[in-house]
Amino acid sequence: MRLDGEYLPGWSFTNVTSQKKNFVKYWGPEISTHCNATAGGPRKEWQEDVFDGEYREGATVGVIPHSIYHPRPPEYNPMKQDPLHKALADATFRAYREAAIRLPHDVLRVIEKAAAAETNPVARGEFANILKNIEIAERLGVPMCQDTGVPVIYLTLPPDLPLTQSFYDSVAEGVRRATKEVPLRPNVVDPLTRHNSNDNTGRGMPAIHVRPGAKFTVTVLPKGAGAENMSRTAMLLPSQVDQIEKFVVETVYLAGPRPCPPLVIGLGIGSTFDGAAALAKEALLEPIDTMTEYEQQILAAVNRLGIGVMGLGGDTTALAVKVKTAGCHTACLPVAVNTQCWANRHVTIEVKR
Amino acid sequence: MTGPVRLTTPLGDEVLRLRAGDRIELSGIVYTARDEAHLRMQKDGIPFEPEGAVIYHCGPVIGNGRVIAAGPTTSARMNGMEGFLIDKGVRGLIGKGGMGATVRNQLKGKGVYFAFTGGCAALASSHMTLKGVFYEDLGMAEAVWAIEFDRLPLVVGIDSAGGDIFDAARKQADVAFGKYR
Repeated sequence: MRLDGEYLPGWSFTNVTSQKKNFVKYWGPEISTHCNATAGGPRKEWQEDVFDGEYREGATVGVIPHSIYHPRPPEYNPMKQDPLHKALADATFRAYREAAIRLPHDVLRVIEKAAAAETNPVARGEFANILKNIEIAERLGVPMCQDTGVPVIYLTLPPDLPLTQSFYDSVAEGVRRATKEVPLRPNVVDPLTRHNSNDNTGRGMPAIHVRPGAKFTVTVLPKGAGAENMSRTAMLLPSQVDQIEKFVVETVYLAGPRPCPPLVIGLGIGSTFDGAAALAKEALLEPIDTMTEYEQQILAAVNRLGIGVMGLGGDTTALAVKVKTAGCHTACLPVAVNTQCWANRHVTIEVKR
Repeated sequence: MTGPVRLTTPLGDEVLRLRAGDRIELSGIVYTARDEAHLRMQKDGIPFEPEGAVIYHCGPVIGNGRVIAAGPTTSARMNGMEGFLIDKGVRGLIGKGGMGATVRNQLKGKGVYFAFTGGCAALASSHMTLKGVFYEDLGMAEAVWAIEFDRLPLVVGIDSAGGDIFDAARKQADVAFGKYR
């Protein structure tokens, strides 16, 4: 068993004296934290993984942020046989496959409605292609777009399931399986070397966000690059609440045809610099067939741009705007726009155990 | 209203009659090419007969000798690299998002840019048969794949007379956004 650059360059280890020591050094701090937090103490197999303090000697050990806490490579997944975690891996696989192939009902309804209302003849043709494409993908069981995205995952854990490392590992296992079997395009690369892991996992990937909930669920939101690349965030002044609409319209204006309109726009307002972006992404999970007055007002402003489907002009530049807000510092107004193409793919599955 | 115009590659002077906004259905062999393939062709020459050829800006998913998914990629990345292809006789470019003024001028009197709907990879592959590949060493997304189209529905984005519906939409957006300035 090897754990070095051959697995993933982004996960490579330096200052090695032995494979195992290396492994402990790399994963130690996080595993230690999570094992301690586990009710009933760590599992037996995990004892050897517990952080031994050696990492302080190594200058190359990076501290993994909480927000992108990540799975271990599969060789180091000791809980693979655990039924609970097999169930999570399986649910992740099924949710990813479903998300790549079929759109949520609310998204499909909104596209159909916009297609029927569109007056521009070229845009009507583009809508016809989109609807035909959705139908073919579903009929043949193939991904609707060749950009099957990067895996953005949301977990809810009921009170009897404390968070451990193996939740991350299981989700990664489901993503690897989906990549091979759906199949998905391997999109995840190391940000600097650009080396592709070929299984859609890597350092901090899948991006896994966890919160407590009544049920054990996994949500997969595959995020394609064309739309993700056009997203923007701004730290507005507290006095600029009325400038939020302008920021959204400007974002769509600057993006032009590139994010594959008609768009779904996730708008995060408040929280912190990073929190606003997280809110914007989670707003994409909201049903888009209902909107508040504020959301409708921003949508109307965006659609006055006339960029239209694929930038060819027309009535429909965006399908919906969804807003999520959170408290923020009295001296701040963080705003983030997460642009999403018409393929607003996401699936939530309850994990059966 | 008349139906879409049917065209088959290699294309000839019939493309000069097309106007921006026309819907067409394209059949015949088309070659995929993205950034890396354009660079390679600039250096080593074009590996296929360029006269009347059509280039598709696409990084397809190929599996078991078949086209699995083949939606268009953003054409603007190739803005600076189409001149030599058009000079050698390429008559059509396919992609999404349109191209810049340079390509619009290069196409004048020679060829057209077709838009294919972004994200419609399943629709695309249902109209395609894989025929061959050049530059396979560039990897799946960047290689030049020879694909036979069977009536793929496209719209003329930029015509050979300088008509450009992307540019028209952009100008409208300039005006609409102007009210915020």
